[in-house]
Amino acid sequence: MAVDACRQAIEDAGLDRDDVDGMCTYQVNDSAQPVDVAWAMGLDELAWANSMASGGNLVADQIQTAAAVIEAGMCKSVIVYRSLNGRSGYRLGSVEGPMQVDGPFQFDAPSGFMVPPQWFAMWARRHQHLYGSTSEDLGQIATTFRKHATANPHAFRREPLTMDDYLAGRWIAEPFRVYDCTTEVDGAVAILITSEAVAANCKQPPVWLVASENSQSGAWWDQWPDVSQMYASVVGPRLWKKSGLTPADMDVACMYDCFTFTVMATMEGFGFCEQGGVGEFFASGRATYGGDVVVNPHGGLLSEGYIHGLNHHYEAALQLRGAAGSRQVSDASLALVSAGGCASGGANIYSRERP
Amino acid sequence: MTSTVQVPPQPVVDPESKPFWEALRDGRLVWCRCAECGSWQSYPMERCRACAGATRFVPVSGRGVIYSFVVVRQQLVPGRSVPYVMALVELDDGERLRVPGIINAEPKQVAVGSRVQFSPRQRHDDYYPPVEFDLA
Repeated sequence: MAVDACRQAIEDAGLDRDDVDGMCTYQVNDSAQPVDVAWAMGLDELAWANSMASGGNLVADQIQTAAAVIEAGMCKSVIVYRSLNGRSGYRLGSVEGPMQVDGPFQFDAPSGFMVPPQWFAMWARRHQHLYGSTSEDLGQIATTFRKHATANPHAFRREPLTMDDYLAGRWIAEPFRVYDCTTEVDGAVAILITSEAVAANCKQPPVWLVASENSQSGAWWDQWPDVSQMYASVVGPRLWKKSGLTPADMDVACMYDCFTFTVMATMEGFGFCEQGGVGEFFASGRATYGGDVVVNPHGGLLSEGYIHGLNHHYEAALQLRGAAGSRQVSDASLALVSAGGCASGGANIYSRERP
Repeated sequence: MTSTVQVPPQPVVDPESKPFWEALRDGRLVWCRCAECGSWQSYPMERCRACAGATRFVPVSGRGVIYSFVVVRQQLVPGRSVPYVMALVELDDGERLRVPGIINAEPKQVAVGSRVQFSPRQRHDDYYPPVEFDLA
């Protein structure tokens, strides 16, 4: 899948495989390594091959780093890809035989508290305590994304989801129901990053990286001051200051949504609304077509599927090219793409026009 | 081990964490603290992350407040049947001294802000238990 996605990205750009001399990826579960993917594509070597061990917190950073590698003259073009057998292969939370946990997470092992939905639910509960956010607020996020996904042939889940369906969903780790959790899929995404000079001769109009801001922390799941807020409250103000843009400038926002609450905390952190206001923001139509900003027009990780957040960058590129078909956001010119959870993550701003 | 089915997931005990686990198996809750500046360490560390001073494990009161909690309703691992309450507790012993643990109470009795007391239940020579609290 990784090789297929990379080949399609190169073909889409109108380049040859030899134009690509750098590749990078990230993983917490299964993966295909850059040198292996390059070899399978028929490339004998890469000038830069990087594989980082971590999750969604790295997605924006990977693309920013690829851009920096090109600007530094280390590579002509870099492919950032993510490929995983998230459904048929390694599933987070699957347990076979006696289980042992090392490092900072060892302290929760005997409690059976060891998978992401449990951590994110813990932060969501704190948010409910501080701001009075509700199950229905989380449900607004899940149902809005599902509605968007109905127009996306790539989406894994396209059947309608009502608020009643959401509320009737089985509990996973209360306050999370099954519909608060992403859909695990097998899939791959490849994003090709290149220089302005190369892009000028490509088949497709380029999508421009305007700004990227990231924050990576060793606070793990419980040690940053306020767990009701995530990395976005740190990254958001930096990103807007750096870019000179504001949330109101965004036409599209592809918000990392491993869980519904991730969207809630990061929409607040990036300044789309006040703490506790996300449920109303979605309920009043401000997060969909005709509103302030279309959030996850592809249905997000919740409904399109979990390709570890790199599918959000693919969707942003489609929207900014005007190539999103029946789910096209009209006149989309700027997109925010976020990824991460806890105190670690980042976001990129992409533009249709040269910044 | 008597039965692998009943054994909860286990820590890979390392030199930094060993005193914590040995005390817990003995029914005592200890936490890592700087011997020089007094800072509580978030995770056991050989040197203080604030001042680089030497650290040691010291007993804590085990009294605190529920900072947040979840009700685990999907069985994930052996060792405990669902539903059960897993909380992040802020101990009275220090500012933001957060200890995760199981709350031995009915889910409906538990709220953010509930006072709790460390209360070891499981003793087993062959494996390490979770941190457990009762409502105070």
